[in-house]
Amino acid sequence: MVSIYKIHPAIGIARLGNSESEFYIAPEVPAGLPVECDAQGNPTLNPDGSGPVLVKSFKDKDGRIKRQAARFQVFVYDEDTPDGRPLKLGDNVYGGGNHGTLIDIQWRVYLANKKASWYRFQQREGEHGYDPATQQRRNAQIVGEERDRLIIDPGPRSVDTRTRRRASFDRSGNGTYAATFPPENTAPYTINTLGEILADDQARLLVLGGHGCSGSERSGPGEPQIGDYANNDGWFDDTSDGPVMARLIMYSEQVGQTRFIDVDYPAWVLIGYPRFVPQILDMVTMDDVLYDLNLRQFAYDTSLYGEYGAFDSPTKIPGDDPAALQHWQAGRLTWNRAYKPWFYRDIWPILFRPNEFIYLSDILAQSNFPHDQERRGTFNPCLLGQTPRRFGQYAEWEAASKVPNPVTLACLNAENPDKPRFAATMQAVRESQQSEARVETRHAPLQDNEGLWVLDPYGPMRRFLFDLLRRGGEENEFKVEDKVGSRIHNLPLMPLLCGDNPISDIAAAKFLKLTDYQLFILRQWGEGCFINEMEEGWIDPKTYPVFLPNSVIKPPENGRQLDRGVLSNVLGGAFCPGGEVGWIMRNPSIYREPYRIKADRSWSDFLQTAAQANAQHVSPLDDVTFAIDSPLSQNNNFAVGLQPGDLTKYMALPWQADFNECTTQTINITYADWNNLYPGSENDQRLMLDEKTWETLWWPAHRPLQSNQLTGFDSQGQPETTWTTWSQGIQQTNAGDFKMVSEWWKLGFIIRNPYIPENIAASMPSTLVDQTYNTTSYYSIERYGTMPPVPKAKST
Amino acid sequence: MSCTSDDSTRYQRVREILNDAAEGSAADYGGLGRFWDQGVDYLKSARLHGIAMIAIAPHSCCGHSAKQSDDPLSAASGLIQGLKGAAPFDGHRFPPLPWGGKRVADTDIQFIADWIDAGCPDDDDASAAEAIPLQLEVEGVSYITVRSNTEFGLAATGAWRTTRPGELKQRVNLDCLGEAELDRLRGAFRQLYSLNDWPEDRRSYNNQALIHQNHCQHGWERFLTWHRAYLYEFEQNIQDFFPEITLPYWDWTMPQYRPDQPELGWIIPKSLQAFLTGEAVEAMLAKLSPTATAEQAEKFFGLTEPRRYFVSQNAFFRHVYNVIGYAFITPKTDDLNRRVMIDALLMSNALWYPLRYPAEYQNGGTINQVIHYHYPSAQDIREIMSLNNFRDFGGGSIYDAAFGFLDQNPHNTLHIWTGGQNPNADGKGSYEEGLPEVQTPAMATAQLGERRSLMVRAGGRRFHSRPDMYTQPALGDMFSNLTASYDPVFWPIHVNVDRLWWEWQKLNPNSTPVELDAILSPWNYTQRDTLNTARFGYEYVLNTCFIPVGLDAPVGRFLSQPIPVSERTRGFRKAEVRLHWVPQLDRSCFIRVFLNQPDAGAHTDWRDNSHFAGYLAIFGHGACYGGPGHCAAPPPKAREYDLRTPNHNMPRNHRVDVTDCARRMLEAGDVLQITLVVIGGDYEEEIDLLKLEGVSLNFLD
Repeated sequence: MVSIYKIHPAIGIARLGNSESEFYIAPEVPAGLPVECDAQGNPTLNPDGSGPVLVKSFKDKDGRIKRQAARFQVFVYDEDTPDGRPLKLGDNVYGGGNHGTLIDIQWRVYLANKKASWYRFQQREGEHGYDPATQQRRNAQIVGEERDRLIIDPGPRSVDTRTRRRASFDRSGNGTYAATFPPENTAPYTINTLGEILADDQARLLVLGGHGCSGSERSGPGEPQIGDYANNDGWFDDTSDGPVMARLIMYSEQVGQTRFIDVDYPAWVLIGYPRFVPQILDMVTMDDVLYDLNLRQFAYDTSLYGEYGAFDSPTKIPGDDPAALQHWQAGRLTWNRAYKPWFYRDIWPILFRPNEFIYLSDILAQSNFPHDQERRGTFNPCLLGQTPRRFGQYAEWEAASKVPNPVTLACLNAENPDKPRFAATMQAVRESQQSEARVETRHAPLQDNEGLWVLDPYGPMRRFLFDLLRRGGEENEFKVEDKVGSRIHNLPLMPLLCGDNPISDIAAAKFLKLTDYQLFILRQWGEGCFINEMEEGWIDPKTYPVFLPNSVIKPPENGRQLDRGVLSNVLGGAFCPGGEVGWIMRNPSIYREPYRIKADRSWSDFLQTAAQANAQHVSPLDDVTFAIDSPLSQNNNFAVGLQPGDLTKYMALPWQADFNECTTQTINITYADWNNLYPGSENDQRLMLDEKTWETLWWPAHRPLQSNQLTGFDSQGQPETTWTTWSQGIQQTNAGDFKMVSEWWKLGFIIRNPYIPENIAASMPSTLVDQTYNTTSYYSIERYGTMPPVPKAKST
Repeated sequence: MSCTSDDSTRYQRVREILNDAAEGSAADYGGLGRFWDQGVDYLKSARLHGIAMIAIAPHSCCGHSAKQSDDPLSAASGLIQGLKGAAPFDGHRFPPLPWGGKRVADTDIQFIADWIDAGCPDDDDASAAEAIPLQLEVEGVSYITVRSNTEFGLAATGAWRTTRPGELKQRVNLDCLGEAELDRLRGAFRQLYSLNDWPEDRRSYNNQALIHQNHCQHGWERFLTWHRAYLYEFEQNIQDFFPEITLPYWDWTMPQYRPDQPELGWIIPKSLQAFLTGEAVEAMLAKLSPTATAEQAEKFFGLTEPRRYFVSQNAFFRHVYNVIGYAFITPKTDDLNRRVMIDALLMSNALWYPLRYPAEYQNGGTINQVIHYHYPSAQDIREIMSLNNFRDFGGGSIYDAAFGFLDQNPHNTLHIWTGGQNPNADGKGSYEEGLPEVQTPAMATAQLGERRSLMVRAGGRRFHSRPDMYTQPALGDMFSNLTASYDPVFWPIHVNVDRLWWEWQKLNPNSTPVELDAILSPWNYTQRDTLNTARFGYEYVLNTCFIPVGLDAPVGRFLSQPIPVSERTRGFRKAEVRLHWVPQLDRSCFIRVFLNQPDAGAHTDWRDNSHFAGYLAIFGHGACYGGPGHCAAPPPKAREYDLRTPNHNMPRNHRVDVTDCARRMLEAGDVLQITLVVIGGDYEEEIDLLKLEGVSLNFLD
């Protein structure tokens, strides 16, 4: 077998920060904190060497936000490790017909920002191609070749561990490339760099983004100003994206020479704005989006989604073979209805998310009974997790129905540490069943098809929750209004969050929908076709951290886990245009294979081939003779691949405008297909009276509205907080958007309360923790202008 | 074998194994409980979350047991998959079995698997089971007499034969060619050499070689495309004289070259090495001065039978000096005896070339030590074949003119390997054993390129003239692109490079050079023109064997003579049986292919038969609805200017992939015998239907 070398994560996430030099490393697990590192990007380890030190402070001593580095490393796939393992300096390397010892890795990155040259963002228009007749470009008054200057193009940069550890994407072009940058007099800020790259001691790459400098080149009365959430002519920002390539440098004993081989394919780096709530996942993450896309478009797991009738011996379709995929997709594809998701691994982490948003939004904090995870709540995992039991005889069924389920008892016990005797009683079990959802949505027959007696007391609860979920095609439905007899009649569909287009009437999508995969496994669960790992004895109810469900995910051991871990912290919807990156990520045409962006290799790869480097005994770090016959393109060519800047160009310009406004959206729900009604144009009095709206949240975990702000510590050393607006003094107006250009870095970071012992946080719902210990599970720290509070006494 | 009195049954042992492993676990298995512990019937019907713990045996068909199927029942059983931790019990859908317990040892898993494959017996004896001998499968073998006139002999010429329209010519492996084909190839080269006497005849070898000297492309994306066109032009030039000859390829990674220690292998193909024929020895002995002794003459003749091969002239002359004992010979260019012997070697083998010093480097060093390049191994080639873009594989475009891996090494390496450095440069030194070699100062690697062009001289040379053949240059002609193609070894090396590209193209159909419209001078081909080799009318096969049949009469059952398959051919990637030039048949039929089962017939079981290789179906043409001549066979070649689509009645060529069966058969023997059984619509043999020109067995690399 031939060794294959791949860069992971396939898509890495860096984040802006205005700290001049300080940075940390991106989290690699869902809802993980970033990792502390030294100035060269080497992770700081615990004194006992047990693992990396996690970031406690997100700002430098001047209160400026530290940048988040995207870290890339090379993994080797060979006979011993078909799933890949990290490649280390000193390892044996085989490639291109040579073998030797790895002595260094040369990295090449090309960042660019194409926002000012791209089309105006008009919600979903352009998702399936742009109409040349009607779709306008940003800065349309600039025409012809002059438009090239709208693309920020610092040129490529390379680093290694031996000769050049660091390189900057600044105006200098590194002395070898004629860079293109906006004028120096943009206001309020000048863009002098898109970031930098550095190699750590293990020859891993760190990519740092810009400093959050956005500015307009327009001057004169009233300028600079912002007039739109997404499109502002004259403006530039310093987000960017682009390909990451690596060349392995080996010493070949066989011929006494240095030899070179490139990795299999480039990776991609995306640079977005800071993750102000690192430990709370979005309702739909980018990992959710890509996993779903890969299942349905790239035959990622044909035992889960594949040809009808072939699930027992699923076909293997290579995810990088377009012809094979097309053939596969022409078949009769469906979800495997025999697939059993696992409750604690697959289902609960989805159900868990909405309740977290009570710490980010007043609306939810004041009244969030529907997502209550406590004993009598609708989202009580120990009830929702129980699988149906089947009995041959009615007498057995009856007997079983009178005895509390042992798993229920164990959960109740964990939930009621203060009332152990109560938790063991049937009363507790009965109480836990007396939730609102006790009323059934659908009555499951007591006997199943095979005549077995089914004991499934919580089936109605599960089906109620599933029935409330918005399905495909219901993106514009606020609530179900035509099922009078249904338990969900007149209840709003979930998730009750904004969709991809609650703004215009062209291809409207008012509300967010879970991914097809999420809906599929929730349906299986609703129907009782799932596995409870506690019932099966795979996990221990006494120790499993039910209420910190993401904490069980271990640091990635292989490349694919790293890909997914990194993406889980990126917003996966709604895309209007979104957080770090938008709906373009749902387009299968931009991928070469699952998780890997298709790169235009004339921009991504080293100037010389590795074979040429072998012939010349050197691989130059500077692409001194870099010559191409055209500049970075104003257009897309998905058949060839993506160029630097082709992912972030879809986002708002400047990003601060959309970021500021993405708190809530007033969605007109009068008619499903219409976002805009104009009753005044016809003096339609009836319509005026009929108009209804719903003030809908966007994505609180990426753009919080309110938070508990840390104010100090009490005499016990416990944090004291106050509930307040998160972005104080920045209005939800275009003027507010302009303020955000200068204020974004002053905002606080919302973290999980570190003073709550992990075993307590893990064993009971956060609301119960807050109530029992008179505290809050999340609070905001490091807001600029607040004195950094210091605990008076050590917490115990 | 255990002979202790252990009266427990195998099932009980299975229970013990699983109970031990599951100890302490309360797993309920989706409501099944400990499904192995509740009787054999319960276990056999147990479905854990939908997965059958014991797979159901496929029902037998036509009275034949399905036991011989490749996959035993146990492999499809969830219990075994679960114990092994294989999908779906790999932790994604389910954790390995038993849940919550400890893993079961491999030997115990095998015990359970064997028990399942034995049909999950409930009451047999664990120890007795081992003692029962396996029942031999002897049923159903009956002997049918094969009609003697159906065994067809192999074509004598082997690889090269006239092709029909719609068939590609086959470029084959040089080391798989027989002596007859090699002699014809030598004859073809001699033919081109002979034209060198007319300096302006473009067909002459030297003029063909001059094209490379003046136009060749290396170090960027035109390397592969230019050489494909060059090989095609040269091959056509040969085919003007010998239409059936194609250029063979040298797969330098084959085991006989010992790529890990190439100095100890063949170094270059035997067919291109120096050897003597009896005729040449006679001519040579007449000219030697002083005359060789009778003993020496006998030894010279001894080199011809069995034929003794020498990698280079130095190796040959050392043998003459030290072993044969004829010492009147020196490396000097004007040494007459040396000239006589070079004449004899050239007369014996037109593919040998004196200005070639394979694997010989300064001061007796190796290519790794002196040149810092290494001989390519099969693994090296696999790595290069795994490259996923044309730029890395074949070279960069004009904006990033850069070597591709195939070009740089192995291609460059093979030039250096076969060219070598002359140990007797300028006629220095001696052939006497034990004398120190001429020492030359070592070159720094950085200077190598410079030295190379300095030292290989094309100016002033009269290639393939006798005086040129006697010279003692420092480097072999293959060392430089100015002189390389004058050495016949140039061709099989480049044909192999072309073959590797051909193989790689199949893996990367969309990876091409950037400038597809660029012209490949001095011809009018564009790069795009070269992408499809079928356009040039050739394909690559490792080896092939043609069995002529003839279209005169229908063939009933076709049986070939046993086809010997040499060790060298065994490494094939794919094996195909091809049916050549089959005219339209009146009735539809199946043709079943069996290997090494000469008596196979319509009733021979093919389902569980390791000799069954595959089948093809031919749709019958049916009765002719046209007038006289409507369905007559068309002429083999269309008339000039007849550019219409082929006649509806044009005979067809068919292929059957027999790779798996051929591999199975070659595990036990070294011959393959093809049986074709024609089966009609009534599932009986059709002996009066199939006509064809011949059958071939093809091995692909």
